[in-house]
Amino acid sequence: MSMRGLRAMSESALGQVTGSRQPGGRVRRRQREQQGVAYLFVAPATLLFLGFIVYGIAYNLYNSFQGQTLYGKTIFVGWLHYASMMHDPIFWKALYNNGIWFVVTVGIQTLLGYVLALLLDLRVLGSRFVKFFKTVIFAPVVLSPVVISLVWGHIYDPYRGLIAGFWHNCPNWLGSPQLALLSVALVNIWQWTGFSMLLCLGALQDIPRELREAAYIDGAGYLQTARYILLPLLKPATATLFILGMIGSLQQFGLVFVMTGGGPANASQVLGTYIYKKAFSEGNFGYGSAMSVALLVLTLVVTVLQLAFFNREQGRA
Amino acid sequence: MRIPRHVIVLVRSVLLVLALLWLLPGAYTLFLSLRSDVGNGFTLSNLWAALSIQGLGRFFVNSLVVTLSTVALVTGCASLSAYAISRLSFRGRSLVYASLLLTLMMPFTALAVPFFIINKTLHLFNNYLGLILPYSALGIPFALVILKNFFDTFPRELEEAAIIDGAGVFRIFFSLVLPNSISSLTVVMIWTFLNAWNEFLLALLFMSDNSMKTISLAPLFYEGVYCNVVGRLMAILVVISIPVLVFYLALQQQLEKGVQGGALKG
Repeated sequence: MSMRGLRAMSESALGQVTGSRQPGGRVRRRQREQQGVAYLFVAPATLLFLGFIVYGIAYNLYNSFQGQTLYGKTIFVGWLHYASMMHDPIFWKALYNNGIWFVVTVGIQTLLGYVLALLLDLRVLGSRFVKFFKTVIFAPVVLSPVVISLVWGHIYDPYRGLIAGFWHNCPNWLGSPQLALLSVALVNIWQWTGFSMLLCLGALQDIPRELREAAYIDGAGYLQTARYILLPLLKPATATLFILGMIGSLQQFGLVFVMTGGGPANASQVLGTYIYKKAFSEGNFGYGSAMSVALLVLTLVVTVLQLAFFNREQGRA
Repeated sequence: MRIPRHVIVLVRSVLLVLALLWLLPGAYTLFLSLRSDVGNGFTLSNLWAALSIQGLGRFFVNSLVVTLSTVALVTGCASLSAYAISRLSFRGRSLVYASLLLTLMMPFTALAVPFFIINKTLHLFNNYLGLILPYSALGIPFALVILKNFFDTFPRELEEAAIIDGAGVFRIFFSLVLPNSISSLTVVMIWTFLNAWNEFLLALLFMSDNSMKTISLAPLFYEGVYCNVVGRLMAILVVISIPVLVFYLALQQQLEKGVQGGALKG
């Protein structure tokens, strides 16, 4: 007789001894109690979620149909803000800049992070060197974006900055419309490459060493092993990096705000700084809300698309 | 696979150069803060002045109050709900989890306007709660993912043994599960701490009073005062960054665990 059968028998015997008429009764009461405790446990988080996130989204939706008169009264304006958004070249410029920002930062951070992680994973550099290297590259992640912006602002300064010290007549990194956005994006890459590297290194360390050994024994070179064995197994890590990078790009604010303020002439404007400008500098809350709704919808759509893409890839691999 | 020695030397040198390049902004900041305003010498006077500068202590204390309260609130709310979602069966469980996770994808910037209105209605401008509550609401999802993943791996036998000993859900959670989750709780606390400490947009919007500003607003505040005295400003930036860097060096391993464990398996 199996162990489970034994236990069932002894339990029913126990039930007879203690004389409980409904064998399920106690279990059910316990479950009901558990249900009550469970609601108590999730209540605080849910309240914060309802009060801030759900209310926030709902308020954005409501407010995006409201406008203000000269005397501060709020009136219903219908689709006005959405219509002007569609015809606002700066909105489209900001959206475009968010896209450029995502491609440049996530592309380079992921690529550089992966190359560095693969090198560290070779285990030939000595553990002290690896620790030093990881410490240095990851350090900017913990720093405040405002501090970073001011330091890099001085590095980029075309007259008395660090770069100008080596390179006389260097371009005006933050002041030229062609370079401003890319110069700020470079700072983002400096700050976040360490994050990609560590995430990828963690994923590489989860791949059994035997897999690499087997590939080498079969005659595969290092590059082939990396391409055909390691990279496919890094897909979940890549998906995580892309989704985190996408959210990070869409909510970019600090670096751009401090270093260029979206300028010159909106050349480096992103949605975050533009919402700030419209809602808080110009007091057009309705328009700010309409752009926030657009930003939320965009985030949702892109996240779902990315998840679908990576899941399909996953299924194929 | 054997890697030739000269290749190893080459890789090492390239990585070393890269690391030095990464350190350059920090070294430059330190250099500017140590350079004397007169002549070519070096001086500690800027750093000394930065340490005793008016207001910095207050900014620091404000940040500590906001950040530690956020950490407490996030850790408390997230561990309770993560445990319920992981272990207790209740109606609407997956709905609660899915909707909390959705918050993970909310861009801060898209919620700035409603948060502004909420704080205006509740009179929470220049009030610690005006930052603590939104930081917590936005910080819970990440903590929830890490803790739920950890609770999922917690051995059920331990809990069953406690049930047989007559312990209720509360006792199991507080005296069995929580004490055994210290490592995951640490990861959650550290990341929540860093995010709240460095948050800028909401602090900029809600803390206009100089006595209520947090440390992330300090650089811009002093930039307005010392825009022409680069050495002084850089010294202030150094002083502001040192506590965070010490924090980083002390807790580096837990931070790495947050990147590698939590984010990946989310």
